[in-house]
Amino acid sequence: MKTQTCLAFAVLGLVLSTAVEAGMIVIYPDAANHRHTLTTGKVQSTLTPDPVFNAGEFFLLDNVSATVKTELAGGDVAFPGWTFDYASKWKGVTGSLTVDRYTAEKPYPAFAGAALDARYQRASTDPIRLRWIQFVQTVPPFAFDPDQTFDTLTGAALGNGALPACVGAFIDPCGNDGTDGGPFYWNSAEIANETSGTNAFGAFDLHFSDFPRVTVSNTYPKNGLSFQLYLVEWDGAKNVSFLDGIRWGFIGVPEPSVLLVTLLGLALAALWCRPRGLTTAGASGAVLLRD
Amino acid sequence: MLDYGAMKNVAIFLLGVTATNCTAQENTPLPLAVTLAAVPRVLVADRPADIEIVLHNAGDAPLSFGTWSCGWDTQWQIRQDGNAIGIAAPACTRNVRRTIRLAAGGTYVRSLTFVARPVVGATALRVALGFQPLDASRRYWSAPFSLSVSPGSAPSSDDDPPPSQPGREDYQP
Repeated sequence: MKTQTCLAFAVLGLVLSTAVEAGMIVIYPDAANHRHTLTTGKVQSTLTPDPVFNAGEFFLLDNVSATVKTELAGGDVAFPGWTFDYASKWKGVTGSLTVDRYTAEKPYPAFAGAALDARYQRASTDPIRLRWIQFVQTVPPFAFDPDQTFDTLTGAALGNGALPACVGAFIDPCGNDGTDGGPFYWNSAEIANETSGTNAFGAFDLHFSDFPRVTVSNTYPKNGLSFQLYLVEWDGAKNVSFLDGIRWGFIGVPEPSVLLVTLLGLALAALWCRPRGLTTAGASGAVLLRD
Repeated sequence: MLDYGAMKNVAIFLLGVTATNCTAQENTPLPLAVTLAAVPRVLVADRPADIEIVLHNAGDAPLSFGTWSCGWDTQWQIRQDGNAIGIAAPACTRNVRRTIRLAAGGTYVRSLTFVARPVVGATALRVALGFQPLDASRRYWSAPFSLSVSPGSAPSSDDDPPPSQPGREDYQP
């Protein structure tokens, strides 16, 4: 009986370890290429999630989210005629994703951002024709307008062009660049430079890089972007199979001292604007009429 | 036959030469000229305006440099007294490096959006714009030019006539 129980645990362990091993391996960046938070000027930018900084957070996705499926089926950007297989090849790759750089960034006093650089190296059994699909969620949900400009010093909203906004969640980029009609992150003019190459960090079969940013201002006091980056197989026509994915992103908030001054200002304004003829009665909070 | 000490000295010398060459290469300025094709004479406070910029390969050989696809505005600086004008920029979700390749005499034309900050009365400014290619240690400046900032409504499309243009070459992504 004892032997049978041990055997059962061994089989279970083997099954579990097989399940854990399925999918790509993620290699985190070294300290020189990782920055969890950056605070300068009026804005603080923080990586979210950040498994390097917070042991409980993970990059890897368990499945393709329902919102991604909705967007690909006919969201802000349309992909007519394309088919997407979300299940049959999921976690069907065993190569390695090396995250070479993952840093909080702050390109301007009123902007928060992040930078991610990663290389995927195929295992011998992985599909050949690999691509990225990136899904974006604005945090909290807001309309992302690609040609809305902002004052980089104050974050004030300025002019807006003719391009329509994408609302809440969309396949990157908002407003497909149109060179291939597909949902891929690298378009057909870019992909040659991003496959089977070498960069400053090493060799790659498929490269990824992004340096997104959003404003943080009085209008948008907390703003960020949450990404789901999927490794997919493309058949060269209009059929895509999802293989694996990670999530990454950042959140920008006013720098703590700015927040404190703002709250103090609001408190003073509330005090200043209280109804005339009224006064407060100290700690009790009761309001007394004068005279 | 060289002994170990001599070989070590040769290796150190070669490393030194290599390092010197690399440094010299990095510090060699590109023949990149920054000119402005269309500049509003008046910027109205809080109203963004585009300035069309021409990067011109003034050398006699091809050159290449790096830019951001969405955030190329971060590669620019404004030289001015105070901060009466600033750069206006969009948010970006997809912002990737691009390599611009210019033949000798070729140009890369792209606009940059500016915003004037509220002022009391009209303010005359003398400004210059500086561009720093990605991974370059050097910034390339335009000639200084004049414009004024108006606190109220004023003609915003009173552009200077564009200067004569050398042959244009579209960038290769």
